[in-house]
Parts: sequence; C-alpha cells; structure tokens
Amino acid sequence: MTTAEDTGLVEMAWDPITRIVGSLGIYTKIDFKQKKVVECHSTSSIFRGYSIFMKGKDPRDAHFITSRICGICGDNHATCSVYNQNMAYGVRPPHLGEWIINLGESAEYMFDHNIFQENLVGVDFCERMVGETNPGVLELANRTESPHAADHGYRTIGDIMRSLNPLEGEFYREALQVSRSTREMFCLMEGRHVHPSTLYPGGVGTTATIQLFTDYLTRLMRYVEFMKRVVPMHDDLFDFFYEALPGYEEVGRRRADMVCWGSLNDPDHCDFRYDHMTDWGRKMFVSPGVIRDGQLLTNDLVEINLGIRILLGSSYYEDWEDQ
Amino acid sequence: MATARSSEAESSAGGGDEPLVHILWMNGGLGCDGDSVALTAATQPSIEEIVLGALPGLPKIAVHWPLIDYECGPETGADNFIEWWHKADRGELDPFVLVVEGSIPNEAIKDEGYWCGFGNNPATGQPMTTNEWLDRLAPKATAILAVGTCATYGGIHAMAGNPTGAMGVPDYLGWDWRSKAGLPIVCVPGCPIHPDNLSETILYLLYQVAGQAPMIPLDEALRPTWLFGATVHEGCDRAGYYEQGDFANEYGSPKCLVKLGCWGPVVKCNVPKRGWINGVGGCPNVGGICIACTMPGFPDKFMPFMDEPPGSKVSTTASTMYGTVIRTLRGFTAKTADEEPKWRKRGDELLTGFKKTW
Repeated sequence: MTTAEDTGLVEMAWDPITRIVGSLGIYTKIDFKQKKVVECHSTSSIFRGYSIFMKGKDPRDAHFITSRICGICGDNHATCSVYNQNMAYGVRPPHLGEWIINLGESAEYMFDHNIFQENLVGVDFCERMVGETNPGVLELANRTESPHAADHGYRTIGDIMRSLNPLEGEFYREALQVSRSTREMFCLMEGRHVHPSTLYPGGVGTTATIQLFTDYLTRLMRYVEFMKRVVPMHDDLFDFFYEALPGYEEVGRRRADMVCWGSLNDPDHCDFRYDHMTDWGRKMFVSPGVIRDGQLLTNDLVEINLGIRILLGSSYYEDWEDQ
Repeated sequence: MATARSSEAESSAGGGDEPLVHILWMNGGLGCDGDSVALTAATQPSIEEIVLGALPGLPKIAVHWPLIDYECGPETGADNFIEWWHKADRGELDPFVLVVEGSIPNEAIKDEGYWCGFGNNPATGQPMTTNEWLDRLAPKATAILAVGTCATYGGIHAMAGNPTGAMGVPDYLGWDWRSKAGLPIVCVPGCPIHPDNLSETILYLLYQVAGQAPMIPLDEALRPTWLFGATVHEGCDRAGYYEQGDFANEYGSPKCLVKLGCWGPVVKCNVPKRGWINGVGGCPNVGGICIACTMPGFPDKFMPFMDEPPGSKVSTTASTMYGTVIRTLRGFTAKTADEEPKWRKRGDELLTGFKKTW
C-alpha cells in the first residue's frame, strides 16, 4: 500500500486472490476521499499455452486435453470440445448420450453454484468477516429477525452469518456436503470430477441403466429440498445488507453487456450441423444471446460466432494468414 | 482458514503446549487448481475433519490454502494471505508442510518474463516465481507434498511441444531430495488427484509429523505404496470380461474397454476400486477409458488416447482364444446355477430327500 503525495491515490494490490480458482491478482489505485476506485487491473500469474502444445496432436484427444485448462469447470471445456468435434466429424450422438451430458452439466452447475455461493463468496458475509470489518452491521444483524426464519431455520440475520463461518459454521459445512453430493451426481453421468472420463466425440461411455438414473434422481430431490431453504436464506441475508449498508446495491453495477453461447442441447433439434446452427442454437435449454446496454441484439448462434474477434493488436496471438 | 484465527498468537508464543503444524499450499505451478478442488470433495477424511481435529492424535494445524482461505486482505495490509509465505521464508514458521500444485517450469530458458509466479517479492515489487518459492522454502520445509500429476511428474503442461520446459517437483529438486526431517518428496499423482487419496496422504503425513506414524511407505516414483501398488485392471470390475475375451466395441457397453483405448492393464491407480467420490464414478468401471493420468509417462506415452493400446492387441487375442472357451463352459454351469432344485414345488409328495425317523 503506497500513497502518492500529489494525487492522493492509494495503490492497493491483492495477489494472489483467495477463494477463487486460478492464480489471479488485482491491482488498484483508490481515491479514498472520493470513495472511488480510479484504476483497476487484473492479472494472471501463470502461463497456459494450450493452443501451443495441442498443435499436431490427434484431434480425437482434444477434449481430454482442454479439460485440463480449468480445475473447477474442466468438464465445460471438455463438453465444448466434444461439441466441436461432433460438428467437425459430422456426427450426431444418440439422444441418450446427449441427455447424459445435459444431466452431467446440470449437476456441475448445481455444484458450482453451491461451492461458489456458500463456501467461497459466503465467507464474505459470515459473522467473523462482518464482525472484523463492520462490527455495527453485525450488531444490527444480531437484532434483526429473519423474515423467512420459518423456511430456513435461522432466527436472526446474525444466526445466518454465524452459520456461514468457514468450516465451523453449520450451514457452511452442510453446503460443503451438498457440493459433494452434487459432484456424485456429476460423476454418475461423466465418471470423474473435474476432468470427465466418459465423454467422447459422438456420445458417452456411461453405461445407462435404470440404477444410474435412480441414483441421480434421489440425489437431485435431496438437492431440491436443500435449495428450498437456501433461496429464502439468501434473500434474507442480502436484503439485510441492502438495508444496512446504503449504497451497497451499487456494488457491481455497470453497463449490462453480456454474451452467452447457450448450453444444454435439445437432442430433438441439435444435429451438430453448422447450416442448422441458428435453429438448434435457439432450441438449447439455455439459449444463446448477445446483450448490449441491456438490449438483446441477437440470439442467433451463427451471428454470435461470426462476431467473435481476437484483437491482434492487444493480444499475444498472430494473424493466421500465411500460417 | 478457521484455525488461522488463533494461530498467529500461538506460533509467536513458541507454540504453547501443542505444536502448531502449518500447511502452506502453493497452487502457483502450471496447473488448473483441480487438486485443490478435489480436496473439497474428500470425505475419508474430509478437509473439515482434518482442520477441526476430528480424528484422534492429529496435531493442531493451520492451513494456508488459496482456494477457500478466509484471509483476503491487500498486500502489506491486514489479513494478508501471502504474508504466511514470507514468514516461512524468514524461518518464522516451524514446522510446516509445503504442498505444491501445478508443474514447475524452466525459468532458465528465456531472457525475460516469467512462466508462473505466486504473489510478489516485497524487496523488488516484482512477481515471485514459483521456482524461487521452491528454492527458498524447500530447505525449511518439514515435508513437501506434490499433489496431482502436474506437480509430481509434469503432466499435461509438460507434454511434447510445450514451450515452458515444465517438469515435476522431483525433476526440479532432484529425485533423491530429502527434507530437513529426512522425508523424500511425497507424490500423489492423478489428473486431477483422487480426493481421498489426497486427504488420506495429508492425514498420514500429519500423523508422521506428530510422531504417531512411521516413515510413509513410498515406491520408486515416490507414490504411497498402499494407494498405487495395484493396476487399474487389477481393481476393475470389468476385468472379468477381459478374462472371458469379451470386449466393448461401442460406447455405453458394460464390457472391458481395452479395445476402445483403455490403458488400465498397465496403469498404477486405485480409482476403479475406490470410485471417484464416496464410491460413485471412476473411469473404466463406469465406461471411461483409462488415459493413464496418474503415470509419469502421461500424457505422451498413451496418446492417441482414443486408439487401442498397441500392446493390448497381443494380450486380447490370447484372452479371446482362452476366454471364448471358458465363457462357453461357464455358460453351461451358469444355466444349471440359474435353476432351482427340482423339489421346490406343490404336490402330494415330498421330494427333498428327507427320511422320516419316527
């Protein structure tokens, strides 16, 4: 932390950032008088190089390799690679194979949401953190009844915060367990977490039996019961923060620019042919789209694909002409 | 993490009655953090059981682990996570176990820049490379645990054509390296690491550091022998199909996957026997070919993954000849075994062989 005399800006850096996957750092200049972050840069301190060492390798192995880019969402990379291979080879997997991928990816989203929201982010809202950084807010939380206490069982907002204390809090530990059972659901469909063993181009190796789907369904319904308590608890906790810290709703506010290439194919429509991609893209259970300043510009996957640019002037990539 | 709350006072007070063992987790190698994520999946034991001391005889520990660490303060400010590393570097943390995740690049092959770092060097304000951390902390660590195939043997980032010259921790520090306490580097490979293989090895090392367990038994590749002593094939519930010469030729089949590219017969790994998490999932046991992700030769010696391993052509031909005969003979026996004894039926006569003695 250094202060520049002339500007009054304070340099602050967080490196490595904790409670996140990846070796990341944040470097800022902060104007405390104006209460503004004036400059902010993010960085990653490890080299990846997948586009280099995958050159010349058998393309059928691509999903096994790309999965290793990320240790929390490796399966998403593997799935995308399998989709790409299906398109490149012109193969359409059997419907059951597509459903198994969809169920596996859905379990991944449940796991991701759970571990991120409760075990990584939740710690920022725990009793220990709030007590150390904002003791007045904790006192207020201890005096504030939870509006949905009957649904989740925590009488006051302070009780919710105590339940989120890392490793010791009751809810933190329950969430850790749920992150395991959702990973079991994932492994039922895709073999291993985080790098799947049963995904292949053209289908899955998973042996589809009645038992497989029973095992998934029973865990899914336990998860649904868990979420019936989680949602009202989150509502109570975050509504409290909006009231207790005026201006808190401004955190994260920015231009609404978003892009999504869709997720979870509908096997009745997806034939992995590029000339039909507009249609089957729109039939995805999470449909694609580009939103600029809050306005939906397109949900056409072909248009989105053609609109992707790597700005060679500000990247380490070289033009592929003459290559 | 939770126990770090009181640890500063305790370590500076000389540890009090119980020595505090620090675990420094460095995920700054070339890796994906998948082994950190795996540890959150472990249940035998779970990370919370290790940290909260739920198992008897465990020393008190303080885990400094980026993935779920409570500490998140700015550099040189309060709750600064990286400060624990600087303390260890200054010799102020003892004992500590250094956990390394990710492969170690070769920083000597270029003129500028760095391949990977972990926090900054306060003296220069520049990133502290993962290699420099290893150079500084290795002599002071009671034990070094290399987790995942990247840290143990190089793994994916060390495959042919890589620009970084990546290698495993033993390649970097030397295969005969010993800690100041006399421990070799402990290697638990797997891409990612099997959750319970990791948590169990951490548990063992903590017991050893606390003087409650003898020297951890390791094989020639520095793997715990009780975890990596058997092959995938020896623990695979599809090995019976192999013996009977009955092989899968398409996805989704419950039969042996060797012809689809499974390397199980020659790969040291316990996953088919242990499942992936709470016994659920795995690789060939649930329909995924073994791509040998625990092996020092991974990935290059097993690619293309999707082709039948060359060596298996001979062995599967032999097992097909022998197995087809055996399978036919077993078919006869199985047919008999599948029928109830003839006396189980309604009627006036008792046909069980019972003879009245009155």
